[in-house]
Amino acid sequence: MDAKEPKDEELMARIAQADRHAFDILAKRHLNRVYSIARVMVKKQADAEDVAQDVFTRLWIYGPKWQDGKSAFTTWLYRIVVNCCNDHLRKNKNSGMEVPEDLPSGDANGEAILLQRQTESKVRAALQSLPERQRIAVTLTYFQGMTNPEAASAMDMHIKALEGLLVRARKTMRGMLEEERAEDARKLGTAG
Amino acid sequence: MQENWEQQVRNLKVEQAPDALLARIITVVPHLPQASAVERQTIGSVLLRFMSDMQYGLTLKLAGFACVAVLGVALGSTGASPETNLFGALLFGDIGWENAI
Repeated sequence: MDAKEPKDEELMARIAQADRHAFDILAKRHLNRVYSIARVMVKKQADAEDVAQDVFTRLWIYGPKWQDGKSAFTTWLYRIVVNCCNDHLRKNKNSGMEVPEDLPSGDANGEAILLQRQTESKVRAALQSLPERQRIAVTLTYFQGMTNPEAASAMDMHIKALEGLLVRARKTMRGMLEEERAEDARKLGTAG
Repeated sequence: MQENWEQQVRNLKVEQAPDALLARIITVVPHLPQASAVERQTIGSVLLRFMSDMQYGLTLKLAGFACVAVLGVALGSTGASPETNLFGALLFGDIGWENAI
């Protein structure tokens, strides 16, 4: 962020006074992050868009209630993201998995890109099959890079509970990815 | 030791949100009314906030007490006494022990 650019906290103070320009800046600054987290948490792109819009709607509506110094702006924002994702997942419990888009091929380093996107796609699929709370904990901690206390605060839970979720998530993820690897090895063996 | 998948999760790219989404957000959202910073304190709002801050167990106990109180008033208003009303006697544990004294 540029030194001249206003800080999130300053923008929030202006949003509390219904300053639309401040809201524009804040939305532009955080939308990609919020959208990316939503993409990991919910299964469809359209749903992630709904979640992101819902997050910024709540940010605008409850902006006047945000208190500087009570918690960091990002913690407050990610708590809204978690709540919106939870609400969305609760409403759409039976929605199916999105079919992944076609992978590119044929360019100069197509194979490397293909491999990278395949890996990314597998990790996303594994993340999305985690139970809801484990998925949120992993996303905030590893993808968003929050510290455990920050993630616990965003999820409104005790740090020990978060650590418990992460332990279980690690176990599940390890199991799923090992299974995946074994499956790949089996396929290669069959093909060879 | 950090596991491979943890690193892979860290390496997941931040996705570019569609331009239409940003346009929709900055066009539509600021037209919505904002919540007022200071809400008018009414008995209802104070009670609701108090209830939402409470632990579920305590809420349940208070709800239980309230139910018993309402039942007590309801029974009392009918003029029923433990001697004449079996339901009331069972509910309040008044099963005639005083007769034994």
